[in-house]
Amino acid sequence: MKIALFATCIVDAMYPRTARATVAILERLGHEVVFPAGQACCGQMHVNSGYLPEAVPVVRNHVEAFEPQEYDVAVAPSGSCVASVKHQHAMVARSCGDAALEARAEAVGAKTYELSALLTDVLGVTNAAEQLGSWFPHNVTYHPSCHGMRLLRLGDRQLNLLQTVGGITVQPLPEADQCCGFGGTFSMKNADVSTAMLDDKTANITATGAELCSGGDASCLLHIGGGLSRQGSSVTTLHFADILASTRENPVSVTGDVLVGGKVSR
Amino acid sequence: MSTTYLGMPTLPVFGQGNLNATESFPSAAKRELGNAQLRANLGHATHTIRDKRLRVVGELPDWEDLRSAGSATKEAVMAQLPELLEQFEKNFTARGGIIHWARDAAEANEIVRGLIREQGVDEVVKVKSMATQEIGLNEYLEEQGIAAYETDLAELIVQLDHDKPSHILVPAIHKNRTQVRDIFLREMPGVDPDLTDNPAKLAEAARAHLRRKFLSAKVAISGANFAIADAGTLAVVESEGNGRMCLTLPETLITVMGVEKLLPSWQDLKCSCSCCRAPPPGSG
Repeated sequence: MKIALFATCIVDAMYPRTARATVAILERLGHEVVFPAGQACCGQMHVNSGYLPEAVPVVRNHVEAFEPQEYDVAVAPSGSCVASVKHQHAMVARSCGDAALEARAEAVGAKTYELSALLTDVLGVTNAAEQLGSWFPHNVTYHPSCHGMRLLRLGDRQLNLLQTVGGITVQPLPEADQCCGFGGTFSMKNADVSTAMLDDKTANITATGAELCSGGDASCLLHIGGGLSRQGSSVTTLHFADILASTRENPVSVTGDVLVGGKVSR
Repeated sequence: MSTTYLGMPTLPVFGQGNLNATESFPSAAKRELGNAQLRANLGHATHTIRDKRLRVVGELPDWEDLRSAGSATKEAVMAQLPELLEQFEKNFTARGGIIHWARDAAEANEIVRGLIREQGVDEVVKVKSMATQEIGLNEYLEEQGIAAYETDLAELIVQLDHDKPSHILVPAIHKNRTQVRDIFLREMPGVDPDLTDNPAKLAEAARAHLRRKFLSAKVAISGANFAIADAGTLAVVESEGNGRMCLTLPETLITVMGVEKLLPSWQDLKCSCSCCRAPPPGSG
């Protein structure tokens, strides 16, 4: 299968390792990964803030980046960016009266998958240790991000994959379904409430005794990791793609605040 | 994600009307986050009701389908609102009800005042209603010399404390039981001076207080959760029994309802009421 990678802004800017991990996982399964070069932001910040006309060029850019590329499915290691592509792009085009762009956005959205949904529903991965060689001998907990849970209805797909990683211990997170307080621009517009919500989240994470908290959205993990680091906690965050990519031969090492990935095995 | 785009919200004017608070959310939040008691109250209460909600949702195998069906019904109602309103008016009138149309809060408040005056009373009992909160009915009636008594327990607590509801479904979620006892001791006429903060005792004190109001009130005011167009009837969903008392004991019932509360038929009510079993905070 030919798979187009949609890296997303935050992964590109802050966690490029997670994009490489996504490629490594898919290549291990024998698939070809292509990277549509014109891709940029999905525009969810504009849309979620109500700036729909301003989001139209961003939607058009995404459609025009992916449309000419030959691929079977597109994938992103993010729930919220995929939710934007699948649930917002066509709506934005429609509300701004661009029926042609709406149809094109629908087509791109229909072929776009969040990573755990692609692995589980399309590629048939049920055991990460056996099928991906995933090995991560650490004590982790897992936060399901809101957009993946509420818009994409991912359910336990990410958690199920994590639980089949070799050597891993997964601690249940109390009140896991509660928002971490990030919420994109919400964290800036209502910083005090955002931080209060984060306090509840990090208290629950710390109470599990886990070494790190995993999840499927780099943005939420950045927020949670920032909070933990400011509390002086030794607990850190790591995207589930990085955990799935970690192997016995090339383990992702967890050292203090900074996670240093080894050479990714393909 | 909703498929309907309603445009950019207009900038709120704080302190005017009842839809916007007296100050912006971020500035109020910044201050109130420093209130440790409030945060503890909310943390405890939301924890409890979220667990309750999850339990109820777990009992409904078709919960997501029910939500989708309820949402589709609401969208369909909006698409044929004028026709449904006229159908409702015709059927409700045929059953002996009287419909008054109000274009805005001022008209609605004035109509309600006139209806109360026709009965020659200056006291009414109320079922919890967001519509009357939105139009500022209690404040308006007070200015006109009419006392409106809230009968929902949480609304009663908020009203006795001269406070505002903090949540549309759990109006007194910001108060703990010790604070509720203190409010009752301070504001409730004839209350037992030895009242404790035992929830059963607090409920009993409220019950005794409200019973006197129920038995003496000639007029009640309610909101409506649903209006059934083909049956010409109204529905109020409640759990304390105060709604039933208000709807049946007084001689006159005034219902203040937004036009969006319509449902086409009893069948649609069945679906919506199933959704009511597990509303967001699971308190229904």
